Formats: sequence, C-alpha cells, structure tokens
Amino acid sequence: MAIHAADVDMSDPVIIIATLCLFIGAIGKSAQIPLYTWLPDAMAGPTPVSALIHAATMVTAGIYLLVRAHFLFDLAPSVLNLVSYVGIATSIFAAIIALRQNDIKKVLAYSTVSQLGLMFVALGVGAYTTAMFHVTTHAFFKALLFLGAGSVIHALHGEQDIRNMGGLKNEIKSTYWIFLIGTLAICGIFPLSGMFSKDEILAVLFEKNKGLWALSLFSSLLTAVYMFRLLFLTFFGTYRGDEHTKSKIHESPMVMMAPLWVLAILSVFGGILNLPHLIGGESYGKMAHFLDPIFSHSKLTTEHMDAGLEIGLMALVVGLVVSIGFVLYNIYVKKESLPKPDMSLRGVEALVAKKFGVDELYDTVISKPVLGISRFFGQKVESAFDGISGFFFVTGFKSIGNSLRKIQNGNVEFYLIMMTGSIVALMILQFLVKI
Amino acid sequence: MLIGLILFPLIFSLVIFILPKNMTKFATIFYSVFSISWMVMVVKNISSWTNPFFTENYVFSSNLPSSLLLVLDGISIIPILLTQVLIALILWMLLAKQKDDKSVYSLIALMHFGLNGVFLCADALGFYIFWEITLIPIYFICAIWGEGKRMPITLKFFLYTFIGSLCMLVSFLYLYQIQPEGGNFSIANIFNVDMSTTARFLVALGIFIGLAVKIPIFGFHNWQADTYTSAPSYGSMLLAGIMLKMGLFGMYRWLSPLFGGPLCCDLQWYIIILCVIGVIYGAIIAITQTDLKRILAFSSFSHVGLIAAGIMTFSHSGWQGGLLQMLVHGLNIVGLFYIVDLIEQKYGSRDLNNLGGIATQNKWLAIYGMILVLGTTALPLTNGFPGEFLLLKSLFEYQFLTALLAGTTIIWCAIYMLRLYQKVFFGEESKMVLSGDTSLSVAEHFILIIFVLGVLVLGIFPQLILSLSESTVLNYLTQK
Repeated sequence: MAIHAADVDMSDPVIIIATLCLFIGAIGKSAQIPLYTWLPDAMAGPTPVSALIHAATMVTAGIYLLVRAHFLFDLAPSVLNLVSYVGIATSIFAAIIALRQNDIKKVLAYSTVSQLGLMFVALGVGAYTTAMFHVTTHAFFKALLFLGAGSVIHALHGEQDIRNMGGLKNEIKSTYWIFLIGTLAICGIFPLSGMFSKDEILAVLFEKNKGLWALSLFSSLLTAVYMFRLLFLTFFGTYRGDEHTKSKIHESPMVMMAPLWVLAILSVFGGILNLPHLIGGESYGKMAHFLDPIFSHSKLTTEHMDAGLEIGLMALVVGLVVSIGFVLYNIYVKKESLPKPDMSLRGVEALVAKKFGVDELYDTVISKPVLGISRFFGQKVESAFDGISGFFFVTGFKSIGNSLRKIQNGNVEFYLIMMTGSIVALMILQFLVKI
Repeated sequence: MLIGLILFPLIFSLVIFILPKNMTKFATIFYSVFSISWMVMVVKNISSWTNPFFTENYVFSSNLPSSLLLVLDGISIIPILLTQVLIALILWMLLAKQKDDKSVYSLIALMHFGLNGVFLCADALGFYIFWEITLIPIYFICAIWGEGKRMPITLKFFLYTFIGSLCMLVSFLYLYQIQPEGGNFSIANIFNVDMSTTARFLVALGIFIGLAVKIPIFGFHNWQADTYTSAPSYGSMLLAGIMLKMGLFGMYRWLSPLFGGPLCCDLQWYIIILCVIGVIYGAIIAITQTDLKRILAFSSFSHVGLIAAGIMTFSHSGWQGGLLQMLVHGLNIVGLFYIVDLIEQKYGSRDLNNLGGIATQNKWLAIYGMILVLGTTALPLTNGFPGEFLLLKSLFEYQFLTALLAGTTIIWCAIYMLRLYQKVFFGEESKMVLSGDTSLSVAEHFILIIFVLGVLVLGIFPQLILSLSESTVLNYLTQK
C-alpha cells in the first residue's frame, strides 16, 4: 500500500480529509482535546478495568491507528503538524488538571491523558517507533499504578480521596514499594523503563522542533510534580482518615499482589526493549529493529543523534525530575502541607480544580441544546403535524360533509334542477371526450 | 407451493373458530410450525437461484384483467422469510402470555394471509387487495385491545394509510388504463407503457405516497408513534416488524420500475432528502421520550428512513443492504418490543421514570436486552452492522452530504438506546422493579434466545441473507 500511497499527490484534499478523519477517530479513542472528558469519568469502573482498558490497552488504539496508517499521514504533513499540536496541548492541559485532583484514580486518569498526548507529539514528528515504545512502557507502569491505587483503595475500604490517606508506607509496605516503582518509572528516573521511552521522545523532539521539545519537557516535569504529590500525600506523613478505617487497614492478598510484582518488574526492566545505542543497545534499539520493515517507506524516520547530546539531555531531565522530587518532599512530607478544600480555592487554582469547567461547557454547548431540540421536535413539531392531520381529517371532512348535507334539502324543485343540470353536463362531457 | 403460503393462514383464521377452546394452543403451535416448515420446503425446492425462483399463476376468469400471479424471487424471499418467522414468534409470545382469546389468533392469521399475499403477488390489483386486507386485522387489534385513547388514534392510523393506499390505487388504475388493448395488471405489463414525464412523475408520486405512509417517511409519519404506543404489544410488533416492510418491499417492486424512465422532476432526490430528515428527526426525538414504546417507535422511524434512502439510490449496495436491514430491523424491533412487553408484564410500567435496576433483579432479561440493544445500535458483529454499513455506503456513493447526515444516526442511536438501557436495567432498583416478578419462564427464554441468536448469527454471517438476493438484485439493477 505504501507504494501506491507514494503516487498520491501531497496537496490532494482527499488525503488531508481522510487523515484528518482518522485522526479525529484517534482523538476520541485516545482521549485528546477536545474529546478527552470521557476518560476521567470512565474511572468510575472497577480498578482492574481502568488498568486494562483505560490506561494500558484500549486508549492506545488511537496511537496504533495512526501508526498503522502512517503511510497516509506521511503524505499529509499539515495533519501531522496538527497531531503534534493537539498532542502537546492535551499533554500540558491534562497535566495541569492532574495537579489539583484529590481522587487517586482521577490523578492517574489525567496522567494517562497527558502521557497519550506525549505519544501524539511523537507521532506528529514522525517518530512512530518512539511512540510505540512509549505505548509499551506506559502500559507497564500505568497498569501498575492503577492496580496499586486499587490495592490502596482496597486497603482503605473504598476510600479514594488522598486527603484522607497518608502514612500508608508503613501499613501496606508491599503496595508502597510497587507504587514507588510506578511513580519513578513514569517520572523518568534512570534506569526505569519510563526514562528510556520518554527520553527518546524528547531527544527526537529536540532534533526536529525545539519549541515542541521545550513544551514536552515542561509537560514531563508536570508529570513529576503531580506524581510525587500523589505519592507523598498517600504514603508519607501521618494517616488523616478516621480511626475506624485505620484499625482495619490491611495489605492486599497474594492473588492481588502477584500480578503487581510482575508489572513492577516489567516497569523496571521494560526499557531493555529499545535500549538506546549509547548504553549497549543495537545500532538503534531492538524494538526499532523489529518495527523497521513497517516504517521502511516512511520518509520521516529519525536519524541517529549525537551521543554526547543525548546523554546531556537525559541528565538534564533526570536532574530536574529529582530536584522536583526533593522540593515536593519538603512541601508535602516535611511541612505536611495539605491540599486545601475545594471551597477555599480562588482564581486559577479553583479553575484547575474544576477541570477548567470543560465538562460544564460541553453540557451547555452540546447536551442541553440537543435535549432542547429533541423536546422541541417531540412536542412542538409533532403537535404541529397533529394539527395538520387533524385539520385535514377532522375539520376538512366535517366541512365537506356539512356543505354536502345542504344539497339534501328535501326541495323537489332543487332536485329537478340538479338532475337536469347533471344530464346536460354529462352530455357535454361525452361530446368533448368523443372529439 | 406458493399458494400454500397464502391459503393456510386463511384456512387457519377460519378454522380456529370451530375448534374447541382447549385446542387453541395446540392448533396455534401446529399452525406456526407448519407455516415455517412450508417455507423451508419452498426454499429447499429452489433449483436455480436466478430470477425468479417460482412463478405461479391462478386465473379466476379470462375476462378479468387480473389474476393471482405469485412470484418468489430474491427480493420477496426476504420479507417472506421474515413474515413466517415473526408471525410464529408473535404467536408463541401470545401463548407464553396465556392469551386465550381465539379472535386474536384468528386476526393474526388473517394478517399473515394478507402479508404473504402482499409479498408474493406480482399483479398490481392483487397486490392492492392484499395490501388493504392487512389493514383490517390490524385495525381491529388496535381498536379492541389497545390502550389509552385508542379509538381516535386507530382512526387516524386508518385514515392515513387508507388515503395513502387510494393514491396508490389511482396510479395503478392509470397505468392499467393507458395500456393498449388486452392489457392487464401483471407486473410485466403494467410498467411497460409509454407516458409523458409528468404522468410518470404523478404515477410515481401516487405510489410513493401509498408506500410512504406505511414505512413511514418523514411527513407521513404522524400516525406512527401514537399507534405503536396505544396498540397492544403484538399489534406494535406486527406494525413495526412486518407491516412497514410492506412499504419498503413496495419500493423495490412497485416504485423502482417507474424510475427506469425520465421523470419531470427529480423525485428520487426529494425522497432521499425526506428519508434523511426522518433519520435525524426521529432519532433526536427518541432521546427525550420516556415511554419505552415511543422510544422504539421513533427509533424504528429513524432506522427505516435509512433503509428507504438506501433503496432509493438504486445501487447494488443500497438494495442489498436494504433487504438485509429489512430482515434485521424486523427481528430486532420485535425482540425489543417483546422485552418492553415483558417488562410491562412483570413490573407494571414501561415508563423510564418508574424503572431502573432490572439487571440486578432479572439478569437474563438484562443480557437478552443488551444483545438486542447492541444489535439495534449496529455494533460490528451484531446483525445491525452489515446492513447499515451497506446502506451508508450506497448513500456515500450517491451523495456525500446525505451520507454524512444519515451517518450521524450511528451516534444518535447509541445515545437513545444506551440511555434507554441504562435507565431501565442499571442504577437503583425502583419501587416497581423491587415489587415485580423476577423470573422468566422457559417459553420466554426460548423466544428471546431465538432473537439473540438472530442478532449474533446474522451479524457474523450476513452472507446467509445477502446471498439469497444477490442474483435478483443484480438482475433488477442491470435491467433498469
């Protein structure tokens, strides 16, 4: 197909529309702006379901779709640009919202949206392998984090608000270690899997588009902020829930912990799948090698970058993330400052806590008008139809009946006139028809 | 062979009155199994799958310009299959409900007689007579066993369909009238005439109005929601499941030949516009309805609009998709009406506001309901998908914008169907649900499993149905 696709004219509007429509489908599936609001809401489902379909597998179908259709997207550079803009906007926007969420699953949900955004940025610059690599490592550590959160919720008998948690690292040690591994992996601490995939994205962006690189870096740092905040508020400090729950806190059974440890091991070592050349990988990573036949036609495959530069970038990111960790440790653990109640928030903070009011906006702009139109059609227009048919069938027939009734007046003279008139009319008619 | 499909229902509808009351159940089961077996036998005897499979002509008098000409081809075989299956299922539903009023069974058999006649008769006058015969039993069913303001609603329904039918009759009479000496009403002759583009347009318009009321198409639909709501459940099933297929079938057999010649204005385009408006209009209304039967009525209105639009494109995918979707829509809507009927029987209400949480009370009903809802929303691998896909493809090839607008039906349908499902089956159990009967009888399981199998089997193997009509559709479209 790629060979045929090469014959297509780049400026052909058909290719733009086709790729745009595919991209809109991917936006919906992978929860990007403006169709992301469903994903945090879908977290109402059970945690294992969230871990499987809302974090690791199903939501990445959009990424997969674009990767599969890369031969089309290669022909539409303008759409590819749009992909990366939408991706970066979503990534930062969702990360900002995640900063002010207090529901443990909601934080992870917005984190997923943000990470998916990063993958789209990578797709947008043509780094398909890199995006697939991040899909894979993200599946490991995000499923781990979700199941870890599930273990926390299970231990606290359904409590999801991190303001009522704290100090859990001594109560549920195993879960704590797992969550720590997940957090370090998603933040990109050396040498966990997240670092490799995320740094690869950043390295590609650094080469292709410095602006996008800076924004993606910013988004990655936001990731570190909300994840460390979550970690510290949940597991460090002192327990803030009620005594009754505290007396019943318990570690999850083995049947829950075993898969978590498997995921933890994968989150630690997942980076091996596509090790960069400079730390002993093949010429350009196992996974890249594996996917190479698929992308061999792509004109946008990345060239190899300078090793020194790559190490420098890596060190920069890791350094920044670690320092963010220390700052937050200071705020949330040393000073034990807590998230303020939603009511007392002002200005931008309140706006962020309310998720920028996007849910409400969609409700006013889409749901309410549709329901309004539906009621208008169902009541007003339908009763107008009723009125028309009523007029036609009832009033119409009645008035015909009423006027015809007057002919039946019992007057013999009138009947005779009618009879003669009719005979004459019939004769004239026959005369006309014959001719 | 084919005459059996018409005669047996007629005989049964009379014989059942003579039988003693305790024989009703046995006789009905015998009749339903027999009519399905007869159908199977007819299908088995088809030797060549080219157009037409069977033709039978019964001449009553050589003086009459009309005879009982029965034709089974790839187009009529699908509504015929649907009719035999649905009539049998509806009869079983009534038996499961322990309805022992003989006249109901008799009227349904009379309906069966008329429907088989409509789908088989290839003589315009005969077609018209059968078309009107179906109106008699459904009128009594709605007027006697209906609910609410059944009399004015039934009268409105009757007047709508009857006036529509008269327009159709006028067109047929005109077509007969302009034939040279020795003409008759058979389908081969009646369309084989020369006429001006204006006359052709008026004739097509007359036939279209007759069909449009039955389908119904936007503008002719006002009777539908009220009638479906006030009719008894089996009446709604007959109306939505089979009677509206008469209109769609009529488009294939009695309307499309007129488009073989030039018309003075682009009727095809106007009809498609009306259909597409209906698709969106019906679906949007369905979102805020609270009566389950009304939701299904508007959902049905929306779905058949798409079928009619697909047929009017006169393309291969439109015709094949239309035939498949006729069958599928019949199965799904009757299945859903049955679920609504069961809910009403067991919980005493079919209003969304009184229902909720049935899934925890009656999980099997919820499972069957889910599969039927998914079939209606055209999820891939359910039976709604292949037909809808073909219909949208035909519209896409005809005109991009109509496909785009009609394509939104996928979203609308998901909205109102999932809302319905959520409010009925999920959430807190309402008072009425808590106090209701929670079991399903073996007969009810049996009937619902047939519908569910229909959703799954036709979703995975749509070719089973598409292959029946393939050669006939190709034949028709190349002739035109």
